[in-house]
Amino acid sequence: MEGITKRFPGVLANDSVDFSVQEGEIHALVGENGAGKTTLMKVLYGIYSKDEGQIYFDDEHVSIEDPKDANNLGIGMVHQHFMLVPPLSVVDNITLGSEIAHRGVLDREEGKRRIRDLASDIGFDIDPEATVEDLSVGVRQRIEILKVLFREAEVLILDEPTAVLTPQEVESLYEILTNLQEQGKTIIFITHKLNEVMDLADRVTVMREGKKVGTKGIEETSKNNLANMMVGREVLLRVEKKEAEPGEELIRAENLTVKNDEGVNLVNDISFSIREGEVFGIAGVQGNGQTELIEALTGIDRFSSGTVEVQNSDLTNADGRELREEGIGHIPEDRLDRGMITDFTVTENFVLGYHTFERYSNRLFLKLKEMDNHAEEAVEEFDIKTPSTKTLAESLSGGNQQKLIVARELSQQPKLLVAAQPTRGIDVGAIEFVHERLMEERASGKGLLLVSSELDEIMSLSDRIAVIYEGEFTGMFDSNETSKEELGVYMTGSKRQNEEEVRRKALGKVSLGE
Amino acid sequence: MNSESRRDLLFNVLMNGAAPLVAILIAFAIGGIVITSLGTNPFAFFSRMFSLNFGSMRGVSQMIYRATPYFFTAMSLSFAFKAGLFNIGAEGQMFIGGLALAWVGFTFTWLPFPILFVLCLVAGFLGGALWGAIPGYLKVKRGAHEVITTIMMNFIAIAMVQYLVQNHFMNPDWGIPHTPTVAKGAYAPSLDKIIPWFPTGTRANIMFLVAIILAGLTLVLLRRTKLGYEIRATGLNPNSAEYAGIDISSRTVMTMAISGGFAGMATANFILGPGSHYFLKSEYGGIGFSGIAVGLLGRNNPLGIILAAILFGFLENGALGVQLYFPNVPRQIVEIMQAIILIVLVIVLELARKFLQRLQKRG
Repeated sequence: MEGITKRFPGVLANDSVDFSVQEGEIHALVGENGAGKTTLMKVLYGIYSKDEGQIYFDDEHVSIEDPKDANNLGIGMVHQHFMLVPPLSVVDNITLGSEIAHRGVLDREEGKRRIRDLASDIGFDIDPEATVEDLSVGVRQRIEILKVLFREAEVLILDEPTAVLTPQEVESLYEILTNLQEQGKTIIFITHKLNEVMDLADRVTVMREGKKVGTKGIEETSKNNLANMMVGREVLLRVEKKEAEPGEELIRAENLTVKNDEGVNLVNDISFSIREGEVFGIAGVQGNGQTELIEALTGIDRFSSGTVEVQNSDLTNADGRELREEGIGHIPEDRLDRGMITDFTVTENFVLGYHTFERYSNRLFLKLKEMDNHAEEAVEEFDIKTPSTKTLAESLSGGNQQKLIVARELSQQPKLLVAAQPTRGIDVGAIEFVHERLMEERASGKGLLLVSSELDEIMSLSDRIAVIYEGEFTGMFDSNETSKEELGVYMTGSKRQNEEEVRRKALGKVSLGE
Repeated sequence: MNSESRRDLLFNVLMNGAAPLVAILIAFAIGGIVITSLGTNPFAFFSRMFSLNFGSMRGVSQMIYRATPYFFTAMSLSFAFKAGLFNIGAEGQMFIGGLALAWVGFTFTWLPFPILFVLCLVAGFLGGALWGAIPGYLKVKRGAHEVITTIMMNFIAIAMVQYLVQNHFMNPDWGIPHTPTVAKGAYAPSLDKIIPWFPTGTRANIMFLVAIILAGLTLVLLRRTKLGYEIRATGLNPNSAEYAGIDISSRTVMTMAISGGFAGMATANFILGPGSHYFLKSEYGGIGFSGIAVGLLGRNNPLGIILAAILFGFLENGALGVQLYFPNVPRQIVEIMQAIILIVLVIVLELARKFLQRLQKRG
């Protein structure tokens, strides 16, 4: 690709970008949110039409007007959001649009056979008759990959393939991609996780603000080097954390249990306490009860048993409003489907959950002026990039949306902040900013309950770390005395500490590190 | 103005301005073809229709009279829409509200104006609100989709109203089933009593102004009050509303109740306004359903809804008058045109959306 330029109204998404991929390599495309990575790939795949530039394939000038052209050249794309029909079977999803038929009669057996072959070639089994909606996210992604291979693609584009996967699923994706490479396929993958680049890629291209910063062989670069190229300045990959100065106990939660509708314990008899100025981290593979624990703790869901005391007042199963009034803030893990309303303005989102507070409303009416003033101050303070506070939140970038949520929760000066995946899917610069702000809260004596599936994040922010597995704490660690590897072992459930000891340590009855 | 806001403006003009206008023009064109096929000159037909509505203040006044009930049922649709609910039950809510307000009007006959008048409106609102709240409650408690339940509630309402009027309120000597007449204290003043230069002797009445005031109050409610904020939040993203500690169940029921309440007041125009002063079911059929079309045509925006309601009033009033001049064109031509407007509108909106998407892709 030479000199690719793509303009959107008000944005220069790609500014004469040159990009080349060699046959048989794994090429990583990295950059912050909004750097133009996905746009460039959508131009290559024919979803966007380019404004300027040329595309060459096998040294031949080609014109790619739509995805069909790309498919004919052997280019396939696995999108970030899967494009599958959930109620249909695997084979029907994969063959959809390129069905094998004889005189108008579908040959599903032939399709199934080819799918099994394709799958075993790259190292996994799949049941072609399974219904897609019953399958996990990881398997769905494999189906997407098979869909591309079924169309005989030689070049595979994967847009942030690991964003939705658990660590184990990431491992097996790595294997699949390596196998594909051995078969001579060419792979381009978009990511902003630098670990993945180092693990997997042969070469890496960095983009920033629509321009290409450079392409490097993997052996001639490092994570820090890439991070600097991405943001154009030095970044702290580990957060500066001052010595912990824990104060009084803020929250004490004992024997918490959450049941689902079928009566199964999703959170099983969990106890912990958090003190002022302390970060309590919960590490775990997603889907092990973290979401349920946090949603019950913040008044969205309910505990079926157990008690929550905040500074000696009982707040078990209090509603969201009461908890906010008691000074408990919540950064939810799902930014778009919990944390904000994208069709609301920045200001309206800034008061979400706090709109009943006296400073933002009286008995009937909202105090629009105060709302706006506070939102403007926060936009300033938290460096949220938005044309105005009246802009709809949907037109903000992911990182700025997250900053808006963080700004909202921190502006209310909570005693205790529950932060779930506070930096998921945002770029390095915004991650750094959020981390710094969270550490400032800790330094000023606030308590923090941090849930994250990023072990780096848990390790660098937390003081004490609990590992959650199948709804239970299976280990308690002091962050200075553990390693990612050790946590990983507990996260997969292959090891667990004595139950009583975990409980005692989580409740802080024994001072750690002695 | 930056290009982003220019695009937003283009979006607004296309979706909210151009699309409805195109739909209306196409409806007139197709209506014209039908009229031509009946052997009548469509230009003569439409220009007569136009002069009947706009040729005199009396015409305007009659048009407003016909437009008023659509205004209410369209507001009913739009209000629910703002909260992400599709209330197809305006028809039934209108009947229940209508019977309730007539009942108050012919029962508490000793009460003076304006007390009885206001009480009638409250009864109409409450009747419709009750009928709207039931599907809201079923949605919240049992997960029943409001589109299905509101449609079903329409049939129940129609049958129930018919039964009550025929078996309880009607004097068997009357030829057609209707309720007793409401007392004088319930009469809605005609517009000429309020606006001095308005022509006397037409049926346009204060309910048109009531509708405008309610539309304004609705805007204030949605934009400036805590309740409105919560209603919008619930409609736009129930998960985030739940996160924010909003009781989405109560907000859903309340939205459906307010939406139903608007529909419940629609027939006050006929029952309390100048005219027969009784509840006559056969006169109101379809106004609730047409409200869906008016609401969509008005793009759920108060000003748009007024204009759309007036268009429907224009067509209806015109159809009644134009029959004298063109007896071979059935008045149902208007219903055909109303339907065409809706169908074409949906198509045009979809095309406009596609066009804007392509524009965005091109950049």
